[in-house]
Amino acid sequence: MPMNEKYASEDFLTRWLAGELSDEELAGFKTSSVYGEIMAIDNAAKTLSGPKIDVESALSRVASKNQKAQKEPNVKRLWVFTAAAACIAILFAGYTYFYSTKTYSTGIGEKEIVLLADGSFVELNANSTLSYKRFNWEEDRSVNFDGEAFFDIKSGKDFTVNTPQGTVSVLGTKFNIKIRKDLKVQCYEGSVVFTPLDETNSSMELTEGMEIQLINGQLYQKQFSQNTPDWQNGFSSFSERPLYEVLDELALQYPIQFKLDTVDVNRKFTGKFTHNNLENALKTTLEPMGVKYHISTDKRIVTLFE
Amino acid sequence: MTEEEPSICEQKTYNQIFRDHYEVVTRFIYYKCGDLQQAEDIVQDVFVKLWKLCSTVSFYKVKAYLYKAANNSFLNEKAHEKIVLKHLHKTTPSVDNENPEYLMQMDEFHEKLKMAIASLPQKEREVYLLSRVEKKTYAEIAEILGLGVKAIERRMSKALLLLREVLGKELKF
Repeated sequence: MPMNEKYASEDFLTRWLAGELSDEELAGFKTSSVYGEIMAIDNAAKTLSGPKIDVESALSRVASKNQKAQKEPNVKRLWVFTAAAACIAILFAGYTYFYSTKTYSTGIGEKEIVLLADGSFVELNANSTLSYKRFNWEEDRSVNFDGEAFFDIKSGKDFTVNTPQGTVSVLGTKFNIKIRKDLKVQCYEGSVVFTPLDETNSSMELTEGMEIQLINGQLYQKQFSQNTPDWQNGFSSFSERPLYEVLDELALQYPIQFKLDTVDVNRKFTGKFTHNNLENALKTTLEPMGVKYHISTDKRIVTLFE
Repeated sequence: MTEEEPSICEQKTYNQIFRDHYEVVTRFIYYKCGDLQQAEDIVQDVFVKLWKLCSTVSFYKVKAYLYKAANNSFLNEKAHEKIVLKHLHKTTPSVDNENPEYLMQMDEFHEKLKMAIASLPQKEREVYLLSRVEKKTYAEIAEILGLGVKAIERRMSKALLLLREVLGKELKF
């Protein structure tokens, strides 16, 4: 039957299901055998019901699974946390043991004595920093250092001082290192070897009473006669040094700043100043040079004028 | 008025969701796989997972989540080659004053109908059963399957045609 062919097509039925048929089409369709068959099948199908499902027993099964599932991850998570915490603690302890460096530094006008594990000690002048690794100290005695300090090193393995301008290595001795713009090493006992960072200069050995200075990349050697560095006795001394160096040194020992105006700071100064009295220090350095000065009320700023 | 969204992590809310949706979602999977035990296992696992993820699933989207998750689990399982819908039952007829011969014929026809439905392709079968047995509208089925209404209507008409092909000659007028 041609009509049945038309009705029994997917497109036509889709339009019927979507309610898109015209009244005429719908009337024609309802009289067809296709419609009758589909309705008969549908009516039978509508009397079918889905499977019976026991929701409550399923819920209690799921609930017990949920309880189990909840306990397990908690225990696991605790393990993970414990393991992680233990790892971090071990790593941290290991790290501090192997790699931690101990650092000592002094501020303006401060002095400090650092006693090392082997009985050696380092006496730091103002504005200086000393750091070293505690791990394996007896075998590897090396420190990083900047500023000025007096070293009294007990004999033992090589002792090395690394500075920004070179290294000083010794076996056991007393010496002073002063690092400013230039570097000065004075040997008070035994002997030390200075190796400049700049490789154009070769290493140099200093014996008792010898000092070297590294000025603008040049090494100068001379003798000195003190038994201890001046700064340990509470003053700084200069011999034919430019005034600006003296002013810098003053600013290390006292918390002051200089205002220079037109004063010529290249003129040479010979003499010393004390570390424990600002007024006296200024008087002994500036008056002989014919420089007048004014100290601000908060004692922070010193203005120089001719 | 804005009401605070109920948390699925609350046991009470979770149980409510279970009671509201467990049966229909299980039937939905049953119509796909034809194995009630498998369908229940799949949907129960979905609910166990929902409990674990309770804080990440929105209460208002939980229905869509359940259908989607159950469908995905079903797709991950090995498909059954032969579907037997033995758990489809005939609802007891409201009128029992029919003559016995007719009732017997009807029982026979129902058996054939169940086989015919079971032999439908999965896509057509689930749409047909959701519509005729679960009495869901095409729009609802479209939402469950994540498809457009047109696609559902097309699958439905295809199902009708296939059933007629198989059962048409059994019908007497």
